Amino acid sequence: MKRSGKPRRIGLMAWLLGVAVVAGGVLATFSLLSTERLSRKWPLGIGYEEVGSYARWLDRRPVEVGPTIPDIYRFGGSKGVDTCIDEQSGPGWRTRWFETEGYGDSVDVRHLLNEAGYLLRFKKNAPLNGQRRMLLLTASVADIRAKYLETMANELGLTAPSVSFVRAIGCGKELGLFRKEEYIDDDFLERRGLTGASLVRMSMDPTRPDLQFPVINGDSTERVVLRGTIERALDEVAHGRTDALAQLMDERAAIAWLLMAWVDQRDLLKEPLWFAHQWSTGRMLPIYSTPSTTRDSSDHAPLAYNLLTPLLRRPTFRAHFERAQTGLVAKIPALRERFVALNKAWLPVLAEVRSLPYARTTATATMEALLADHHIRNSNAATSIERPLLFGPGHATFLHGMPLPPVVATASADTSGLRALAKRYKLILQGDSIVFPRGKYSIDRTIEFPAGRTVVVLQGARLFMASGTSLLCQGDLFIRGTLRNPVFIRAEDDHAPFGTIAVLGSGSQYCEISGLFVSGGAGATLEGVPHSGMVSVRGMSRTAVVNSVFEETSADAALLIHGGAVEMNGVRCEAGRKDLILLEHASGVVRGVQANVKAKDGQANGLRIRSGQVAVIGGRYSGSRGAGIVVEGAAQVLVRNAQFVQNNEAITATDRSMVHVEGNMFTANTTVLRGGSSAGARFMLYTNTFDGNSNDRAVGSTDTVVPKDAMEESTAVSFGVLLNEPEPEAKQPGRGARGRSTQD
Amino acid sequence: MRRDHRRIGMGWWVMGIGVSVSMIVFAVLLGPGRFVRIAAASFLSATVDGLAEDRGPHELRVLDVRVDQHYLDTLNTDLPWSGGRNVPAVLVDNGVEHPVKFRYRGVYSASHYLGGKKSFRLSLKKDNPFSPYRKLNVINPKSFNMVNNHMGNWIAGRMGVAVPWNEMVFVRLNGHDNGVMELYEQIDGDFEKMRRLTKREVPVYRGDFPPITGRELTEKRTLWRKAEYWEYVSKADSTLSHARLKVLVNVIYDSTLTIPERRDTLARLIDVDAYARYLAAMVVVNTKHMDQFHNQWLVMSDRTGLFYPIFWDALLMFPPEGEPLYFINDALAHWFLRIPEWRLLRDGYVYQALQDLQTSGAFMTEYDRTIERVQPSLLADRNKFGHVSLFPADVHRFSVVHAISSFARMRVTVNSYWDRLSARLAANELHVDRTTSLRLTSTVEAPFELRWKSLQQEPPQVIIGSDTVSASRVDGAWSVTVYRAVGLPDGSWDRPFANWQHYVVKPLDITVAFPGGMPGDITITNAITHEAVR
Repeated sequence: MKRSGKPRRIGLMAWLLGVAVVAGGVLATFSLLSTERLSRKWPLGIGYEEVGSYARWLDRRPVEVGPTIPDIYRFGGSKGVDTCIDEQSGPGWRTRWFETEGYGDSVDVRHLLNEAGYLLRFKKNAPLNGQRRMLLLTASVADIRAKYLETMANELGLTAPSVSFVRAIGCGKELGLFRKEEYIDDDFLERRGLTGASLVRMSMDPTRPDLQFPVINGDSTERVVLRGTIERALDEVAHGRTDALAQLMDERAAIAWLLMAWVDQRDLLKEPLWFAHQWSTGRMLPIYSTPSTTRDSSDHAPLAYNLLTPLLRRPTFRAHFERAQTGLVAKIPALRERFVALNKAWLPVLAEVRSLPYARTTATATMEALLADHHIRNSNAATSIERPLLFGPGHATFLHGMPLPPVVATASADTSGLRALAKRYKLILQGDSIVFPRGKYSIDRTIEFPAGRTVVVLQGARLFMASGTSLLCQGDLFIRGTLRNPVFIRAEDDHAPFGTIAVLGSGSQYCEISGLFVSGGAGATLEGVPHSGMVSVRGMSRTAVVNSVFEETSADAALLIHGGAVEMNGVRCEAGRKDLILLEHASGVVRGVQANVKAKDGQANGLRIRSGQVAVIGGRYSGSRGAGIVVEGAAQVLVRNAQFVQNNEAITATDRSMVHVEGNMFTANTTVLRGGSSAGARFMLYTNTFDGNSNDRAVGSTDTVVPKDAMEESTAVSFGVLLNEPEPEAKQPGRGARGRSTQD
Repeated sequence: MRRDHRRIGMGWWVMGIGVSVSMIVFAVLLGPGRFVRIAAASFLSATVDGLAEDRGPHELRVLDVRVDQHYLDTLNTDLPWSGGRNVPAVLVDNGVEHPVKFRYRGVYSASHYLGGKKSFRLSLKKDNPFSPYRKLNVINPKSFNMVNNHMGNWIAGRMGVAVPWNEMVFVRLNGHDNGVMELYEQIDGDFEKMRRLTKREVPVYRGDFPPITGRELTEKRTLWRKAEYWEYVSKADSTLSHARLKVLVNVIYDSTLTIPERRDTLARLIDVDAYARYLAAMVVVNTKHMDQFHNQWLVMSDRTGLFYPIFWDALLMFPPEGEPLYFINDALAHWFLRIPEWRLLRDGYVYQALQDLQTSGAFMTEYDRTIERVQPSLLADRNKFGHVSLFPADVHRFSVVHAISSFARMRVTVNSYWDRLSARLAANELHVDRTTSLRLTSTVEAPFELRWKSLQQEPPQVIIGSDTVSASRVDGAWSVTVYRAVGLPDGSWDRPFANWQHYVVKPLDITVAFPGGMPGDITITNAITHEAVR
């Protein structure tokens, strides 16, 4: 058969079909290929950027996003210099006009010295959201990782700078997106409730002579003492003994930090180490900050002697580290949910609409890499982090003449005192835990439970406190009552109040209270630390108070929580001299709180939030002759779906605080929104219900009330809540314990 | 099929003859050895260095410096004398322009100012990417492998000796690759402040050639002859430090003091442990580069008030002649090494360092890591200039082949030297005659330690040769050390200011007597290694 020599014409249909098949195939490949595969390394030298730019056009899978609008930071020109911020070339500070929602003042701006970005310095009397310094780093979709890591660090109870994203505009010109990060300084410690702590910066790079000794924020005596203590601990490590280091470090926080260092794959040599040294406990608390670089996993270069990795040489520490790995694996589903919420909130900010599908792909890949089960639980994690150690160049010469404290041989446990205590009160000692089982306890003297001991009070325990006596826990406290079978703490004599139930941690401990009915405390000062609440919680990493009732107190506050993350749900408070509940330097969510101020409590406020970032969801604040909620100290508060009834003032905000008010019901209050401080406050007013109030607002010239239509996803997420939340699960405790609830 | 012969044109012939003639002329003028070295370096640089492919991104920090070309041209026309003149420049880091002062530096070694890669110094403002450092020398590496000095510094730092910050960098000057260079902290009164040891400046003295004032090299001076020869480079009050320095110079100058007097006086002025480490590092690094005239620093510690040295410009394997165990680099070392217990202290640090660096492999691991880091930059560096012959003026472009062979050579040199050094320190052949006393004879160089157990509470007296010493308690046993006598080789001038001297260890032939009775179970070990004698 002979083939025709005549060229065959290809018709229009064939052309179209050919193009359609190829285009469809490529479109399908990009839109249907799993996100993990798409963001993995490609063969034939195809680069990540190439895939990204093709995906921008071809990845058309649907993406669900929230309506997020980032904060906008506007920078003006500099005093005496014509250039705008993006043209600022030198390393020095420039004073520029700066505006963002609710803020307008001149600020100092300079380039960062070690990476691309800016450092902002606000005036001392005009901080932005309580911050005097702030980092702005150029952001891309990949920076969602910083937000994930912040979430994980918080989940592990670590103190970490908050991360957010903002849009910057310089002299009217769009400068793009920036990652806004809290600056770690003394103010940062104060905002985290770590007052009286010294900030310490160290490094693990053994090649830098200038980084071999700690940089300590403190006076000359503090510097000498603390440097000596640290050097002694490290010298002991060099001689194979880690006891001094273990005594110096907060074990739980150290484990969490090392676990995060394993997860984030940081370059240990390059990233600085931050610690808060608490003079009250003598312990160092590591502060987590998101890394700017990741390491080559094959690099096992020696590290400088440091306060963290040598702890992995201790068998118990290593065992606890491995347990923490398993614990984190168990949290993966919950973390994944939170990461997805973060994606919804922030990806539309970080990526253009066209690039959103691929941005989600990138984010998903980042998320999966961080949450990879096999990586987190990898049995080589501890070995990989625990690398050979070296002192910095010339260390032995510099150490000569440095005052080092002697090695203190401490008793491994204070068992004798505790055993006597346990015998006297019939408590159970289980390992490190002291358990109050069901039963009646007459506490006739102040009891102090030392650091490292966990106190567990089981349901049905009834503690009758003699006049002026207190309980002080310096370790974890778990009160495990239920509504049906609560834990009671009362004064033995109704007319003679006891002191306080105080928890004083070093920043990494947990306090969980559920099913507690407490009354009759007056507050006390223990070991020089004032505990002005009937229940006073200070220096905890996380405090959860659920289904509990606080009544009849002559203390300044029924419940005082200072520092750390807070979670409250179903709490009822009915007494307090100044405030029923006081949250200082805390961040978290307060749900379903009933704060009913009685007439005898005079001017007491329902809930006072001083600094920090808190979401108040639901609940009822009534009868206050002060205010239902007071927000001060540049705190940021979200108040949603709460009821304010018959208060003199429903919400009072002062001192550059910001309050988002949405979906609340204000009934029969004298004034709904009150401002009036010289520094002013800002109210973001969404849709609320006002009924029978005398005055909707009494704000001064320095205050701002901004009417808003709908809350953005990012606002809700920044407060740690979802925009559309399911109904709260906690039952409201009734008056008294008996027969009110079926929930255990 | 026949292949046509192509004729070589006249032009090629002329060129070939020209090249041949010039080679012959240069060979005659320079001498064959020098000529071959220069020609080979040029040839390899031109032919081999461009072949590097896929060298990867720089792992070294890239130093991007911009200087007005007019300034550079002006400075270049008057080198090395223009070295003292600062001109404004800009250091670009992360897109930020840091204003700096730029000047060329180095007048004594031609590799600093000849060739296309000149050493310079940057003076920076307080807020800079290298903070807290404010004065940085950017040096053209002296060796072909470029990391020689860096590694010497690393060894000394690891041995606990104070060293300047030193890092390999890749320099870009006015947008052009200037190549791999060595960043070196310039030392001044802030030395301890930068190390977070104090908040203020401390007294620091520089012991170097006299500053250049005219257009001539100044005559070198023996530093320890006068306190004034040490240049004060700090803003701290110098009253006390200068008084102490004068006393120190006097102690070194005074040859009438007995060894115990000298030891006790020196111990009140210098940090003995720091000096022992410093001299130990000099032995391990095998360098003679810190001498009577230059490369010396003295810092008065803020904590102890004692002087300690800084290891400066350590050229790894730049050995003194004859590989002496006790090389005398300067007048202070002359006295320091005469004191037997200080000599043992030094030897202990040497042996400890060899165990760490060689036996455990720390040096080679770091050396490999450094080569790995430098490699992409080294391959990218088409501007490698160095001494290609022993003539100081022969600073020419060299090739990556030189660098590679230098890496390999350094590996071999270091290992073989350390093998020999370890063997000398660990040698423990000792002949013991036991009668009513012990007669010890040995030709090795190590001192020996005698230990025995006894219920005696008071320290027993032991007569070693003609000296009576008290034993000391060590780990529950009594111990005495039989130190070795050292002396200068025959014909040497026994003066502290003599150059390039060394001590030799005299053979041991000594009697050790125990007036309280000879202990039954004496253990004799090499006092450096603590290994039992053979």
